[in-house]
Amino acid sequence: MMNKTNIDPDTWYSLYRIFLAVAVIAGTFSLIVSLLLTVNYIAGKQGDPLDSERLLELKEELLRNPNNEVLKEDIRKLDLRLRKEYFRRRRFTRIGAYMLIFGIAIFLGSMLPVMKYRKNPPMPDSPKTSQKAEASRTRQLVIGIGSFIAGFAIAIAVIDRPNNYEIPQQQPVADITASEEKIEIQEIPATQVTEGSPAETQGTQETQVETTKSYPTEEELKKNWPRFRGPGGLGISQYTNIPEMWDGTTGEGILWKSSIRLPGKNSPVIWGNRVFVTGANETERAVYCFDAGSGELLWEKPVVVAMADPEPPEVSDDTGFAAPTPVTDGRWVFAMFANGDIICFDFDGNEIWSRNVGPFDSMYGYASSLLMYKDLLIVLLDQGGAEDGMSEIIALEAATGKSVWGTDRPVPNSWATPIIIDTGEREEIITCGSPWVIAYDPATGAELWRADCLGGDIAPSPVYANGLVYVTNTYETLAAIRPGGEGDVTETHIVWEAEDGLPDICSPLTNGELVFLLETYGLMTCYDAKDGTKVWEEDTVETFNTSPSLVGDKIYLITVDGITIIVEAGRQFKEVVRNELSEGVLTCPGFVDGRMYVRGEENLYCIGEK
Amino acid sequence: MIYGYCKISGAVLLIICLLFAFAPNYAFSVQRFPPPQFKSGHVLPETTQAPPRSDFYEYLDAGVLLAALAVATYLALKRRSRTGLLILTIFSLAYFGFWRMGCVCAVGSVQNVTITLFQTGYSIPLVVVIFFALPLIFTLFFGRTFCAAVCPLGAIQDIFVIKPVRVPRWLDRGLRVIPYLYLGFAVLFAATGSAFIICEYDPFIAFFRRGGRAAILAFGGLLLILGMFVGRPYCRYLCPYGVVLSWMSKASKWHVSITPNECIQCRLCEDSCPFEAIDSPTEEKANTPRTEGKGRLITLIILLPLFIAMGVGLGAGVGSYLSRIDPDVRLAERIWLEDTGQIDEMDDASEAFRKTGRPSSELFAEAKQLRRQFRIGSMILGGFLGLFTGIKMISLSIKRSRKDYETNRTHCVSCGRCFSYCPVEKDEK
Repeated sequence: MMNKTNIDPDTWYSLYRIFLAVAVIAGTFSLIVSLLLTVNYIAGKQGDPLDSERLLELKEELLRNPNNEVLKEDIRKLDLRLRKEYFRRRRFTRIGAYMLIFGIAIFLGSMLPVMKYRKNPPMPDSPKTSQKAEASRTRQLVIGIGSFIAGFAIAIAVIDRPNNYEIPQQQPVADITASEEKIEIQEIPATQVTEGSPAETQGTQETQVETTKSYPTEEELKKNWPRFRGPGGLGISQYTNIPEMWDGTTGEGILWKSSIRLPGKNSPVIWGNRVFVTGANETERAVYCFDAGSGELLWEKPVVVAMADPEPPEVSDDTGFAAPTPVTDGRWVFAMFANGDIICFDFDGNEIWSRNVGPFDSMYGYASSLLMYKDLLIVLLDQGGAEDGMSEIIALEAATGKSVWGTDRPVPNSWATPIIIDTGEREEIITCGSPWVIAYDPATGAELWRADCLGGDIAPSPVYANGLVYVTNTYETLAAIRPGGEGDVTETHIVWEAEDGLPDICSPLTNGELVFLLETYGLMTCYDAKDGTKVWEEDTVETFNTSPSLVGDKIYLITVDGITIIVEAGRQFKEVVRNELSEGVLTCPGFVDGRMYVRGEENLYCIGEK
Repeated sequence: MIYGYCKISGAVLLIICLLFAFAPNYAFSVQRFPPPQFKSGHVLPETTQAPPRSDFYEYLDAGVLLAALAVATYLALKRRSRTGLLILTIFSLAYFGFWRMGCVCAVGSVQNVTITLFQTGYSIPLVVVIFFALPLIFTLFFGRTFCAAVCPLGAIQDIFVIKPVRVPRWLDRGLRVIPYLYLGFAVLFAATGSAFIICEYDPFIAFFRRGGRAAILAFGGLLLILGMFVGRPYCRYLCPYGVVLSWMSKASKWHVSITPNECIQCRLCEDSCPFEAIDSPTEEKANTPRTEGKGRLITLIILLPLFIAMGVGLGAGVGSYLSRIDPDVRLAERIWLEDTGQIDEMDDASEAFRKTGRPSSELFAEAKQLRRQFRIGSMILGGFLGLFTGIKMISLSIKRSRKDYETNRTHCVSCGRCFSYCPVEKDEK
């Protein structure tokens, strides 16, 4: 008991009683607050607005009915209510925490004098355990703890099997529905399709086969139109039997015409008896498969990819929501959209895999098209500013969508599509960005060389012929670059440059002897491919968004109004003929064995003889 | 005396009121990703986050730490004032705990120092070095005065010591091996850049920040409730920094003593320490044969290399398992399970990884490298624990001679509770 001399024992006792009462009240108060906080916490765990089952259900419902305004309003109301509840609980917790601290502080402050008052005096005579026995017991305890830990460690060492991260070659893959080993594809024998007319192969038997062949041969690729600007992305038809005369207003020479429900600035790709295009608006995305022989819509598949940004991307009218042209390898078709959705379907329209690589920071909206290298799907992801470090080129495993490699690119957003060339010594992916033209190893993504020759907003794609890569952009240059170098080849590998007639949208075209440029507002310029000497220029007084295509010795130019101007691909400008379509065209045509496939603003056309 | 406690209680309230006066400080920050632009016209509110602590406050913290250590040392060794130490404890709790929200703390700084030594890419802030080194320097000279009244983790436990009960000495000394284990794991995980477990599992940080994981809050609450009866349970049976402090304290030049003068063997202080840090005079050995215990001691010394070898061997065995604490290793395991079809769906981490476009093979190679690091680190850790166990056993087998009641330099936290029990102290005052 305290023995302060200047306070009498009764006062001490009274103070003790007061402090004890305060301690009891504060302790009880703290206990109640603790209980309330615990209850609030448990209740709050179920009230996380992001985990509300009802909200998730409504959002799923909205995906199915995107135009249901009542549903949208319900979601907003529920979302608001859940958020209010969530923040109310947060406030409660915060205030409760302060009250608890306050209560405990009072409790402890009161308990100090109480315990001091009640403290027992020392009892020196209390029995003590022998120090020897204490040491012995401590040794036993240390050994016990050590043995327990050792036993635990031994158990772990015996049970644990270190993972070598080996992936069996024939294992099914988790995030897709098909596996490498058991890919069931529709047999679309390209050789059969291209040997006869598409109409003849309309009824091709779609036998289910198991295949070990992983990618099409060069021969098969050339017989089809697998990607943007066809085989190699060069805009050159492998067939010379393409019609030169038709009339869209009368239907003459038009084999069929099919409407496409959703708009898109992408071009048709053709494999066997299938024609693929994509379409999208702010809320919907879809892939379309048409019968090449009849124009019948075989399937339309909506594209819904998990993890995609629910907000539509900002795009310009020139690109829209479906500018990237799909790509196919004869087994699958791969499509990409402005929001970053990438999806793979088989030829029956069964989704194989999908993923999202967006959203993009792209000034006009994402527009680069997909391409393939053997079993890889190559995706150019140029976005943001060069200093942002957001641009990259990636390769996905075609069968699974898994990333195989990715390489950062020191360029800002661009809209061109890469090509893959074979220099004879190696294969290279040629990409255009500002200011760099960069070549990559398609197998590994390793940078091979780069040349500083472009600038501005790059949309024209590169072309290649006779050992030279041709790149261009408006206000900059037309450059012929000899590939195969290493590092910065700006000073060593640019063979020639030219400055006239540079396009801002249309890609160049070359037949190996001449290079043709087409400005948006109609000026066409021809250069000698070897030394860059300007051969001729001609103002067609038309407007173009479509890149020129080469069919035999003719160049097909399609205006935004749908007029196809056929000119000779020679050392003199010579217009051969003009053909009208009944609607505007902003995409590149596809050419396969006697037929030309053109996507108009609303319809897909097949031009050819019946 | 009771007025002194009234003053302390008032001081507690005053400091808490001051804490409330410090309103949260917000700063504007930049969106990590471009926010959506709502067509309805809705404008996203500006994102705010706590601003980084300014240089001024960092220097202030270091200055306050230095001043607090100096004052604690003065109060413990010179003034021998328990009341003064209690007031300083409350101040440290308020400043380092509730205002600075427990970070940086000296206890966690062990990890910063470790990662700096082992990971070349990590740059340690000067204030962290100061928080790590100053308490150790003071302890080397004056004993654990940092624990007495400066460490916020010790402070919050200290004010909860209400009705301490004696923990049997053998149990107390046995359980004090756990901090070595904790320190070993903390160093291993920090050295590999995998985790800061001392911070992650700091039981009191949630109180200081008025929010945190429920499990940690509950753990901290249980420790405080336990601490009402078992003084400073975290300091004694968990604190990894306490291990390093105890090494320094053992070698300290000056240290708090129970009596300011000669011990008169009155035994009044025998039960005064709630932390079992007072060593009694050793028992008379008159009838004890000189050879007793020698055999055990020699055996233990011979077995010491075996203890170390066993630790190294066990460490090698558990290295791979321990590596799973590293997030990259866990991600690699997840990706591998998904790639081999053993898991059907991606989780957030694997989804994010796949969106980066990095090939799985790179991640797997990184995980294997980390596993190798963990294996080596675990072997070193095992060896250290084996060595510690052996030395602990040897030290428990050494006969000691002590005539007076003394503070145990390893375990005494210099709190000054024993001062008032000493009649010599009262006489001198």
